[in-house]
Amino acid sequence: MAEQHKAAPMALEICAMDRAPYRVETGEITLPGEQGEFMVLPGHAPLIATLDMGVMKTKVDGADRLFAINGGIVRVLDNQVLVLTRTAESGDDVDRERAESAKKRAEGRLQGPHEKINVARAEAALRRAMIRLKASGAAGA
Amino acid sequence: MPNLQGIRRRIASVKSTQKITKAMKMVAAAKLRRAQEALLNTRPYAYHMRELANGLVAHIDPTDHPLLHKGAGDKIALLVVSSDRGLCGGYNANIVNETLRLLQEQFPGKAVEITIVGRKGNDVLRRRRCTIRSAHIGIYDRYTINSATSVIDPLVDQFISGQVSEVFCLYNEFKSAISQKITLEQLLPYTPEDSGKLGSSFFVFEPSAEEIVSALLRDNLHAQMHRIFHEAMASEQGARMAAMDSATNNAADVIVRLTLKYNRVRQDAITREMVEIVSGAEAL
Repeated sequence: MAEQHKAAPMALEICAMDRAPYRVETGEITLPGEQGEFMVLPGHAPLIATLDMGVMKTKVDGADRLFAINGGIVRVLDNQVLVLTRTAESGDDVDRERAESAKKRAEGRLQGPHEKINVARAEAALRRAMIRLKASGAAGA
Repeated sequence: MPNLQGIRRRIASVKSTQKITKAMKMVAAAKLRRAQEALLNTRPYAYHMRELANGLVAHIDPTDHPLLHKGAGDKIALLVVSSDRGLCGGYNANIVNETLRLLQEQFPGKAVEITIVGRKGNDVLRRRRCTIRSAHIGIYDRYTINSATSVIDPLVDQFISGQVSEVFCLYNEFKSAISQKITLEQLLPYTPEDSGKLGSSFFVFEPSAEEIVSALLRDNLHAQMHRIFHEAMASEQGARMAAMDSATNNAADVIVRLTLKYNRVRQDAITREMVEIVSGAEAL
């Protein structure tokens, strides 16, 4: 009972390079750390960690909110969580069709002869597309 | 005695100039709004990046990192941010004059290599025989973050390889739609400011603080460069809007003066004709 009435105790700020910061109160955040996924709960020790390309998950008013983020860094201090990233895209904003076609294109390129393409770039594109699909909540991504 | 037709033509010409300046003012105002919005979106990221970099540097041994130390020698790299297009009042002239002043007063007797962004600054500085290491022209069309990194990365490489000992950037900071402030910022070596609570708190680092700093200092430079270009773009549009506004007003003044003159001349001509007719009649 007491648990339910408690205000969300962490201030999360997602600050992407070209977007106005997104601020929200939340009780839990799951982040794609460079050394593995980890979760931040209220009262977390001060932390500075680098982030990998991936999906960040947070709970706002009981509902999951997903963000596709493109690397970056996170700072946790006094229940203030700051995520600095080049791009952050809310799962709701992901254009699923575009991500789907980007995924197909990248897969197609990787299946073709490898001499002609930049493998690293195609792989990165594939990963980005998959992360965006996952953030949008698409099944099977 | 100025002839009537000449004045009429001048009025028409000033009017058409006024139309152009008015249109340019409106275009600049629309572009300014967009540029201003983009700038306000990039500022928080750049601010947090710097704050975080300041905090992190306090946690490592500064002797470890090449970007934190002044290099050997006294060659200086100066990045000057001007614009590609003119007709923006004193925007480019101010930044060029400030560059020349810096060369004489701030860095006297030192070898300064200029990296210039923007066609206007490039034209003038070359004419003034400044040492220009490289010029970036046309980066404002289709500007992306990659444009910013392509400008700053060569300078970072020069700094790391010891070709230059310091890197400065001179740009217009956007204050408001009608005012810009020319700002000189030291980019390298990175000099941390007071880190406050970030520097004194005990943090867990993942990976080590040293590894994070290495990545962060470069990311911070990119973020700052990105912000600086957005500052410059907003300032340019602001300066252009102000310049075109005053040009439009000036044109209005000139039209009023010319119209007055035109009427006076016309009146004189009429009076003279009347006098001629009357005296002609009297002579009969």
